[in-house]
Amino acid sequence: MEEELISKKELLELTGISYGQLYRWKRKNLLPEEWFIRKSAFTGQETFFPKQKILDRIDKIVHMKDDLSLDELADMFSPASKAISIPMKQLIERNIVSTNAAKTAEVYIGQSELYTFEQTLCVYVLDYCLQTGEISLEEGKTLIPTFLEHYKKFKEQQCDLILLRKMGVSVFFLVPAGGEIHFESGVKIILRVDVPGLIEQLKLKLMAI
Amino acid sequence: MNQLISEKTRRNLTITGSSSVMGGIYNNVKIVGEGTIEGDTDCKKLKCMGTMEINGTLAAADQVSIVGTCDIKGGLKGGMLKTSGTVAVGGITQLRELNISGTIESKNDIYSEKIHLRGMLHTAGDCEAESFTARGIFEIGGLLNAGKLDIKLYRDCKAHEIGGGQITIRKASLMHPLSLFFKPSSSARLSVSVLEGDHIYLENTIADIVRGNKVVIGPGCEIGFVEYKEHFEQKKDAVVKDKRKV
Repeated sequence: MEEELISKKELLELTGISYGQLYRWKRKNLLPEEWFIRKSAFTGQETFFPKQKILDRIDKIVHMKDDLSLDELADMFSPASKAISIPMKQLIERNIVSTNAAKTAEVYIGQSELYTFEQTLCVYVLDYCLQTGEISLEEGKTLIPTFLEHYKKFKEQQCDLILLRKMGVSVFFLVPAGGEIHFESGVKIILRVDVPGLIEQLKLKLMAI
Repeated sequence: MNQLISEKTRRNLTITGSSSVMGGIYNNVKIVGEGTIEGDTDCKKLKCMGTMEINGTLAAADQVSIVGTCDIKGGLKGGMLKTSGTVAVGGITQLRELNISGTIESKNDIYSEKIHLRGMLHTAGDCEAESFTARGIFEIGGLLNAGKLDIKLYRDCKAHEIGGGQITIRKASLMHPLSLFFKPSSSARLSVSVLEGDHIYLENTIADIVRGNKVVIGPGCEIGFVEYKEHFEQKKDAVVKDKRKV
């Protein structure tokens, strides 16, 4: 996947932020190190960023920095799990996940009252997939154990969740975020879920609690 | 592991003379003489007078103070580091505060809230701090990123890139009391390829590109290209090959 890049100078012009702010946000880990792409240009070395990602992120920071501290923001953007546990009831009451998704997940996660962040994320991902209408509830049942078992292996690294189908047989798997994959013909990618994006959404929703 | 061991069971570790111990969880660690710790070490305070080697990472919640030599093969994490000796770190250094009167040599990145340098700092990686005050020598292989950079040049300093909010680089004053012990060289220069910030004041700096909001180029500077937004000023004895307002 070739991404469109934006130079640091263009970025500052476009967003109206200063060098100081940019470096500050980098220090606070609001902007991940991988986004700083150094390339040589005719004026010497220049830094480039993945355009869509950085513009989205800066837009979020600018809009939310009045309500949240930079550390809280960093926590939200970080792919790391938050050390929290939430009663499932509350998740349903607050419309963070649907009753359907919660019921399906319950069988695998167990009847525990409090869900860890990882478990909550799993239900949230399932809910998201069901909402897209691309997967059936039956397929959702295979998603949960797959996600619960393998997600933690990625640790700090980010991953995408992919659903394939061939001749009516569906396969779920997790790959490092943005990684390229190729298949034999006849295989169809039904769904590619950007898990870090969902983590961000979920954290934002949980913060309201 | 931390939670399992209650605060009471943390024991003190003292090495006097020459000895080698296993790493683990301790309260206070004190080394007088020569000590080797095999494995990761977690403690509250560490004090070393003499020579110490840690074959692992060191996490010290409160303070690490070194008089002498200390070689940490892994990373260093925790509260404050005070050194008037030599500290070598193999992994990432992540501390609340660094107070360096001696030398710190790092093979990896350094992150801290506050860095106060009166000796020498050498790192192959990046160096990030909210406030970076230098009255000594530094060589940074990557990016020096600080909210407030206050540098007085005593000897030649070097960084690959510098970025931050307020950047002030001056040559050291001969009148300063510190100058009696540590005489500043009048030819001390800072070399950097790219320097970017909001408010920039430079003296004795050699840079390819300087980009900023308000830029003042003082005496002794040799700058290839300056890009500024609001304000630009060039003092006497400064060379600026090209400049542009954006």
